[in-house]
Amino acid sequence: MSENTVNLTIDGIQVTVPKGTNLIEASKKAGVDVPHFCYHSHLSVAGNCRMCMVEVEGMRGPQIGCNTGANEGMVVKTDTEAVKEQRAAVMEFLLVNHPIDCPVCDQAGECKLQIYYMEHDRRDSVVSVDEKVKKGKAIEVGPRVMLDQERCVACSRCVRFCDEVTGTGELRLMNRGDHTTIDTFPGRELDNDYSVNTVDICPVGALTSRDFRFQARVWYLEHDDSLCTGCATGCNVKVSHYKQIELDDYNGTAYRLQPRVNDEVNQAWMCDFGRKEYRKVNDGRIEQPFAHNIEIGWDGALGHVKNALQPLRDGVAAEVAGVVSFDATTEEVWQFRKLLREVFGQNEIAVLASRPDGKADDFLIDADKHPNRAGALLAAGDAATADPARYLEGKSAVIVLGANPMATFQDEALRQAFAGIKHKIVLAANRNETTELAAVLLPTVSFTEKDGSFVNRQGRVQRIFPILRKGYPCRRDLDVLADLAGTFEADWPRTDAAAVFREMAEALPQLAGLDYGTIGKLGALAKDVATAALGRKA
Amino acid sequence: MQTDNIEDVVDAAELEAKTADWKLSPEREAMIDDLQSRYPTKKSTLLPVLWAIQEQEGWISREWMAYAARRCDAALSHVLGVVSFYTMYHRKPVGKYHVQVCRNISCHIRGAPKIIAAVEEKLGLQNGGVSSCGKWSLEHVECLAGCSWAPVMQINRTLHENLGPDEALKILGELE
Amino acid sequence: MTKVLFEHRGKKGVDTFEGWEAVGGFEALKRALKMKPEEVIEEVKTSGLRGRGGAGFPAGVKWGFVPKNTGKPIYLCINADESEPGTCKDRVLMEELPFMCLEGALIAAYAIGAKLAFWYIRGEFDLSERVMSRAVEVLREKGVIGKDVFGSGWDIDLVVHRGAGAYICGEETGLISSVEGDKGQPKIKPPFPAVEGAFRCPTIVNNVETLAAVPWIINKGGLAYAALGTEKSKGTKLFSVSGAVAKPGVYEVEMGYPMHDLIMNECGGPQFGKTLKAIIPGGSSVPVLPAKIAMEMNLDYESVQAAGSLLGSGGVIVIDESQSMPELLAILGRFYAHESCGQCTPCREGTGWGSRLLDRVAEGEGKDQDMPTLERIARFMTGTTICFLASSMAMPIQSFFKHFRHEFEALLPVTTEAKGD
Repeated sequence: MSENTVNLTIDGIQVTVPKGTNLIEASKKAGVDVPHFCYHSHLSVAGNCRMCMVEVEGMRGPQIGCNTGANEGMVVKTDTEAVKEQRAAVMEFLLVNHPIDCPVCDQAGECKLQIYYMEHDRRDSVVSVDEKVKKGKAIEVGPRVMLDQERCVACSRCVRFCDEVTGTGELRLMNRGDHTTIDTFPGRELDNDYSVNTVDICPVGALTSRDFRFQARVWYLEHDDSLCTGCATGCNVKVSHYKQIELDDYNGTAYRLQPRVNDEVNQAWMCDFGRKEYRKVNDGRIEQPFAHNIEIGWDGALGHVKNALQPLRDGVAAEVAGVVSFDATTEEVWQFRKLLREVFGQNEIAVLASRPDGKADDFLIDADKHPNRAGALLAAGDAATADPARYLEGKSAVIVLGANPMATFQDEALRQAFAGIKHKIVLAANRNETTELAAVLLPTVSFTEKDGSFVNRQGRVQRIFPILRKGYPCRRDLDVLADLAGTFEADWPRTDAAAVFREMAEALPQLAGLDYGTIGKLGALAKDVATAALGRKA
Repeated sequence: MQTDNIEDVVDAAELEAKTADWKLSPEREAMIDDLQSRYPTKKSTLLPVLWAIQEQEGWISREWMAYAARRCDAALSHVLGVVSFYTMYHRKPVGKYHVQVCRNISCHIRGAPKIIAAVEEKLGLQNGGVSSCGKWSLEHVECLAGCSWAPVMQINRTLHENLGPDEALKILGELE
Repeated sequence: MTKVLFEHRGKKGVDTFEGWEAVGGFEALKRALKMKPEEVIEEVKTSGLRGRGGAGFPAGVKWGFVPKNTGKPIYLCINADESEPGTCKDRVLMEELPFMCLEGALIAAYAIGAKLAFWYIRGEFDLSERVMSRAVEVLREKGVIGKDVFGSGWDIDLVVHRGAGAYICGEETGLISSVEGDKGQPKIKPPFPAVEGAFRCPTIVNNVETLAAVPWIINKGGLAYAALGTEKSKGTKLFSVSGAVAKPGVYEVEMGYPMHDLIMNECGGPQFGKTLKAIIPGGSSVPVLPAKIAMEMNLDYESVQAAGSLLGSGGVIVIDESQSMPELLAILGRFYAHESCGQCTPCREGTGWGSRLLDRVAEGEGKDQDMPTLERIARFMTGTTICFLASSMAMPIQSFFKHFRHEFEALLPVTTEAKGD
């Protein structure tokens, strides 16, 4: 035991925690769940819901776990009769003025009132609906958040979020006693760039997401780990999607992104812009391979590629150009560069932005709206051309991986150079200006459908995971690169992102010592990447 | 806000712009400056600032809440939260004479119900009512710490003690 | 009987600076300023003076909790938010003896090392507020509040901070929130205010009556004060007597004085010669006692507790046979529902719910399960919240039911069980 840790017993289980750790967190460590509404690991302690009461030997009466610090030798009990009675009583109090409108409430399924009622109360109400205090319902409290004042349990999580995290202070509990009502100042909306976090932390159906509400019953959803691809911050997220087994018409739809705790990156939060990233999974997807805008199937499409590029490959290899973007995974850029070099003898590639810089703040929102600028530049290394327009000028063919050189914001010279290329082979998941011009269009997958890694603005290597699948024949980017190589008789393994990463880790000192195991779910820092590979910051 | 009239809500940014150069009377502004030199934070002067507004205006409108927010470095929502928490801050105009009759235990034992009934009849008002002429408003209030001289009634800031219904009516009569 | 607080009450001009000086005013402050702060604290500890706001915590011990040398400012808050129903003693002290109150506060500020004090006065108070504000102005003019007080090198500022209608601001951390410009919501402990209070700095909150006793203690010595009263409840106490007595008023008696004598002598017995039914001895929040029990007890912390109630703020509410106990309890219920700050679940929901049930019981519209429900509400409101407001509603419910159950049952419908269905 060090000076800063203490040993205590929780429900007979011995745990060691840093001194002063509150008893909710200490209990988590012992595998004991202490029910709570107002406590949140990333906000100040309010101590108002009174649900987390536990008994501590030697202390008079039940104590709130959230504001009781662990001490050496403490004996904590979370399952005594007194504790159980108290929890049931808090549930009864909370439901006195609650409208019990679960059938029309979008929180149903992930509502702490529902869950705790089943676990800790299960008694009939003795208060009839007409005796309850009435408040406002279905209030558009902000552009992205809907408010139901009657369902609020006055835990003040959302108030503390807007005071402590964003500093915008839109929300307050107005009035007092059982007329306490969550609200904004009239005429002021809950419209900060992080407002939907209040929905996530609202333990009940008082604050719901206007985007997500009524789109899916959460009972049928599961939530898997991923990353937000909206900017260079790389907020750790969970993707909500239907459990595959339970539905015949499973279609790989993503319903929302919610932040996942990573204290090194995004704490417990994400921005409202990033929330929209799930739409990339569902909207504007390319569902079939095309050649000259005709659905053609994979074999046909690859055949078209072969027909177009074989003569060039046999002739002047440097006739074929490669364009990739900061949206691609590090592994994809690495393999893309290899494809160009090994199959087409092309030592240069262009690594492009897919969109211009945007809004930034001093918290989570980065001006760079790509998830992997640092990783793409790292993998491209000295192959990345300094002048993409000149590089493309006069080429006969181009292979595009997820890039959008025809985007309106791009340099006009680049657009013209690209437009002038005869054979445009485009690998993309979503339609854009460039896919419109593709001679051959090969459908790839979204960030929720593949393995890979990104390097964020801190130089932190973080992983994405294949958690969804689509019903149409899109293929993982790395597979398509392997297919292209195979078309020209090179023998590449398919879809082994881990192996690609191992190869990179051996070749690149910045990734030395890392593998998918050490990166894990929370990522690991690359060496010297933050300053060196961010390129534009150097 | 459930207690507010939805129709007259204006955009808060407009409200802030409109009140950006509002000031209280010079004496009140000087008083606030003095307090802000003594208090540890600007926000901590919010209660006295709200009192200054109410003393000047008779009540605290949303415009003046915006003034208070600016003057005290506080969020608008914070000001409304505070105004709505304390019962003596009026979010709507009250009568020229704001009559508060204690309804708590010590006054009750010594006859507060009779005072309340007499005053309600005389003014034609119920708890929370404001007369159409704007002269009177009535509020049943909790203990005014006049227990040993119960029952009591407070009109604006003046406390009247040891009342019977007749005395109460006489006091109201003198104000007519 | 020795008077500590009311020694000079009623003397001509004693509410003026000169009048207070004429009766020996500010001698205690001058004396204290020549002592070391810890010596002042020691003297108050010796006196056994306990907090007169209701909790009865030893004042000197509380002052001793302020950590030394934290580098942070230290604040003193004077609790003049007298709002406990049945209590009107601090008002008398402020209106009649403002300079005594201020002198006590200044001594306390010196003892704890405060440079700024907040005189937190109830928003409803008119005369008290005007008297105190004027007295503070006078002390500023005279240099008793300001720099280098009486040549001691000690600086102090004191501001009168007016509340705006919230009972809960009488709770010390609610008061601190209010001083900070917030809703007067009590704060979770730890941290305790003496360590981290107003503006996250060490803060002591004392009731007016507590501080008003301090000049006498410094003048006459802690031992002299400790010689008054009982073994554990030392000194004197103000009792605000209200309700059904001939002469309600605020009386100072030594701790341990018989309730019987207070009612029959000081207060002239029951009003209109009626029979007394019940007495609430310490403000509306403490358990009610049948008059028979209350009239036999002495007025000190221990005796009142032994009799089944609490001395609280010393607000003695006298109830005679003409009163309906369910009606009185409904009034108290409405009060607590009105005053709950709305933070803690049991209080926010329990006070309002309990009040609605008490109202319908008192109106004869109760349901047969209302009393058990109220008992359940009271039980789970007790000791389960940040502050004592919820318990303060629970204690009346439990004690009214305990001693006057028949009056409630008489208003409730006969249950099917009782009918022998």
